[in-house]
Amino acid sequence: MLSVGLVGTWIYHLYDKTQYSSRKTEVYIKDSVAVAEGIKDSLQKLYVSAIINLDTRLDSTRSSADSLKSQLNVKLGEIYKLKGEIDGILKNRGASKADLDIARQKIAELQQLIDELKGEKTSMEQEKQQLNNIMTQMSGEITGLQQTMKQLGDENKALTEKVNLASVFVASEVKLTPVTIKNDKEQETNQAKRVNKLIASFTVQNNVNDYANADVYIIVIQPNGKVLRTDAWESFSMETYNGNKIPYTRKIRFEYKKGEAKQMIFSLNADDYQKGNYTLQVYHNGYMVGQTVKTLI
Amino acid sequence: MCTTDLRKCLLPAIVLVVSSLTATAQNTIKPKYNNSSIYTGIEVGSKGVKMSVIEIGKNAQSSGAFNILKDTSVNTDFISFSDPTFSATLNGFYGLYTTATKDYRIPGKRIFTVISSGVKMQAEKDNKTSWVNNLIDSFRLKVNEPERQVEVVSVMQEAMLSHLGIVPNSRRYTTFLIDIGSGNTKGGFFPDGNTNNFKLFQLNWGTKSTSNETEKRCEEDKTLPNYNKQLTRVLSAAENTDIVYAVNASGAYPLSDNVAVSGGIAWAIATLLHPELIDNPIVSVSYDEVEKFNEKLYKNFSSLPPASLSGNDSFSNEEKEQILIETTRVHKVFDQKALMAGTGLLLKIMRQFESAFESKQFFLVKNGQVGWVSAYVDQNISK
Repeated sequence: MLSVGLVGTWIYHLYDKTQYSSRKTEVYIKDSVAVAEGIKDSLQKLYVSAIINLDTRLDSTRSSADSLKSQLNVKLGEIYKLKGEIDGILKNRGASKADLDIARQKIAELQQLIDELKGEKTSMEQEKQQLNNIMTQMSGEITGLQQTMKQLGDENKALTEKVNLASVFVASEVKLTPVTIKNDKEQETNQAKRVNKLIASFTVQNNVNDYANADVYIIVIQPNGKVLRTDAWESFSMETYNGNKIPYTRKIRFEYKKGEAKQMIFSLNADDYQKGNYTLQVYHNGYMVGQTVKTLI
Repeated sequence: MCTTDLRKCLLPAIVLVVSSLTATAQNTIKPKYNNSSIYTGIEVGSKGVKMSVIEIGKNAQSSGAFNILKDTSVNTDFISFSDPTFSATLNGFYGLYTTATKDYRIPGKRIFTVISSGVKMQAEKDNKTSWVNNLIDSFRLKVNEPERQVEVVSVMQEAMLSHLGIVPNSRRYTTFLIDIGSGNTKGGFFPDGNTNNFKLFQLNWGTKSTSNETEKRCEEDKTLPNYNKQLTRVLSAAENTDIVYAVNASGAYPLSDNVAVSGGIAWAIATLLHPELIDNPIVSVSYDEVEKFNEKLYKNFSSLPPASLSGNDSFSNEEKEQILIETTRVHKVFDQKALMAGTGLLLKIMRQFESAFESKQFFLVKNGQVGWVSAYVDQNISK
């Protein structure tokens, strides 16, 4: 019984060894396909991961680099071309090892392109940052320039005003004399009912400008607050330095040599004279340069 | 007892005196000047009867200033020459005359009554001159003044009287006066340095006729841009066919230093363009400023409402109120399109007096419609 058992053990051992040996051969045959499939799967994963990664990067790249869109499009064109080629190889069930090597090479190329793109994106971001910095700096400079310009404008305005003010006449000895005429003789009066005319006189002078045509405006404000008008066809309105239009009583135009003390005297005839204050104002270049008040009783 | 009787007697007397004083105050016309005279002109026109009570200062002829105290009109449409419009005109004529004599207490010798040239022309055209004579006779009978003068004025007389009334003597022979009416434009000047010869100027274009022609051309498209486009065409045609010829034929250019324009559109432009000169009956303007005003009418009409025009800080409250009232009146009489038409027509006329070598002085006359009364006064005083 024991010998039968020993023989049986040997037979099983030999059988099992035979089986083991034959299975080893089968495994070798399986290797070329299985390994290829394994490689294919791993490449597919690598590719998918690369594509997913790429898509994410591309999206962010797309959104952040509009100005370099055309350049990017060229790169993307290359990437999509490679992607198509790799897809073609990997989808081919009968792809040979050589094909797979090509695919591997293309994937490496794809990876390189992606890295390049990543590098470009980084550089673009850096450039963008740099540009932002320049823009901020320039914006600061512009603000500074604007402030300088405003300051210069204000100074210019102030200077212009000073020049204007310097060129306007200074009126002195401004007088308004109400007179009555008796026996062809003029006599000063302050009684409204006796007044026949008003005589206005003043002297103008400036040491800055000559004028071929100097316009001086005379405004006589009556006690009722209205501007006296002696000639409906002569008295209109003038513009003051601040842009307001105001009516005047008389405009006098004359030639002027700088430094000259020009004396003006003229009479104004109103239809009637009221009791109260008559204000005589002298204007030049929109500025009031002299004033006097006369009261009639 | 005596005291009670006295009270009874005095009370009605006091009431009577106070009442009469109040009535006087209501009807009294308050003149602007101390040394002035008040005159009234009553004119039977095509549309109705118009009464203007004016105050003429002692310097009127040298300064050209007169002040309108009352301006009233009654619409009667006399030129229809029918019995109802005849009666309405006669009643209006009589009513206004009675108002002047009784309410305003203006003596008859200071009231001038005339029939306008428009009525005369239409009556002659329709063979209805007898209606005009009947109106005059009926009026004389009604007011019980058989000798009252009611003159039927011709276009020439009307234009000449306006010139004599509006333009001061100092500018008599250097001023060309043009009245832009609603249906036509007329005016003229004295070419010989005396008032014996008056050169008449006439143009068949007025504010309303220009606007009507433009509206007609607009057809279905009533928008403002289309109105502006069509107005440009209407005015160009008017300028080329009529205005250039009329101005050249008048011979006014070499003889006139001043061009004065009256009529409703002149009043409207002067009021809107120079609110600060609200008291001035005459306003001096340049071609450029009227051109800019014209642009504003089309492109920025909203900048011309009464409130904004009276808003200048330099105006007194009284002036602000006066400006507000007058500019509101302008906007009631003329809408945007009518203002554009009238201003456009004025510019075309002004352009004939603009040249690279010499530009005329332009004046807008606000109260031109009553200028003839002033001339009547002057003629009356001369007699």
